[in-house]
Amino acid sequence: MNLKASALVVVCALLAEPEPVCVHPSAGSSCRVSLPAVRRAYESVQDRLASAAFRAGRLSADAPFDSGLPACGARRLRVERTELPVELVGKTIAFARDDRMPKADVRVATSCRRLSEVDADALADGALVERLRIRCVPTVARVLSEVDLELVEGP
Amino acid sequence: MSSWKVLSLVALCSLQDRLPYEGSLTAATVLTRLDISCVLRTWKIKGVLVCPWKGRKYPCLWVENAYPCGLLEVVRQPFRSHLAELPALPARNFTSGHGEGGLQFAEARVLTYVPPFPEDLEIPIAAPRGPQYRINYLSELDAPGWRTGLLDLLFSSARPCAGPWGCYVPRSGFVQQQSEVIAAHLQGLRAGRVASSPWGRVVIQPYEYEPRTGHYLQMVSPVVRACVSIGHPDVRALEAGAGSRHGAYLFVHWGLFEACKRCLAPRLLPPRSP
Repeated sequence: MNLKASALVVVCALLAEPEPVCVHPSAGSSCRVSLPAVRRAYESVQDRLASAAFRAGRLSADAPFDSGLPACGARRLRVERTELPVELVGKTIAFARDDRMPKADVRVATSCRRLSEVDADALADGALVERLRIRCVPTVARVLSEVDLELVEGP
Repeated sequence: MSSWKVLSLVALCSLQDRLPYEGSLTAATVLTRLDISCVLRTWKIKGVLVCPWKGRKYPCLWVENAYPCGLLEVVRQPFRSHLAELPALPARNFTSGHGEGGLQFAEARVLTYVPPFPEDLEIPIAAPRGPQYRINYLSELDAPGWRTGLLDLLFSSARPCAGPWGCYVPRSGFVQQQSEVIAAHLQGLRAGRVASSPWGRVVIQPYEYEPRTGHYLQMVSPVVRACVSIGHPDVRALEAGAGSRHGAYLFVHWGLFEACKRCLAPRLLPPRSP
């Protein structure tokens, strides 16, 4: 290397500014991680979950159930045409209060005092009531064929 | 007999009656077993939305990610649970838990489990709102439905499946599967499906987060595993070393959610390929 080139290298080295290793122009402001703050946040989440779990354990299974179906006024028989599965043909499905359930192949409770003590096979939720076109309680549905459903209201 | 001997005998009897997994976990201790990387691995930006609010326009980052939303428990002993908070229920006389000729049966429970998200974190995360902990379904209370699934025949005839894990229907505890571990995964998912769409089944409270293919499931007992996509094809990896001596399993259900702060409330995403 000649003298002129060496002088140029020295001048460049003197004029050069140290460049940062990593640049994040859009990073915004930042702060250091505070481990005590992380611990406090974690403990707070744990406490909130624990108290929610304690409340849920006490309340959930003791809740009552009521489908909201009215009581049948008088005995009435009707036949509805709807698509029904072959496995249910010949079976009876009773919709009644859990403590006044008539004999049937499938017993559906329309109300009960505690869900944890329900004795019926199923609950009369909106989807089931609508599917079998139940209007009042008690009702016994008999699946006559794959398209015919007999409903005896107030038996 | 001395009082010390009587006490020892009582302690021995009570220990024998109690299975090792019973009451071994609480809502708070499950938190320590969560695979937090599941949020980060699934987090992605879907776009930017701008919504008008009180005369101003607010931009937000539209994101999706997995977030814990439920506990799915599968056990072979009725009325026994990993969770200390589960209330004692009146025991009834019926059998449970067997696996003969590849036909597996177990009881299952579904609980809403949404750990509160730290609000001062500035990273946009799609975390569902609503109850943090709630008992939704106990198959012991739905004994006829969980064994026959008879009334389900009145509803959809579609047979959605979780890939090689098996199909979500029939929504009963019986699963034709050689592996108890894979069967437990499927039984948990089926219970979750029952709890989210009761259709007459005995459900305490409907579960808001239907388990869907492509969303996530994480085993937290008997061993802690990373979350896996529901229907993931590598079932061998799923079952290796995960068997339970008592046939008791606890999973965390991670739903996939999307949200955009002030524009789009957190909502569960549709199923996708695992």
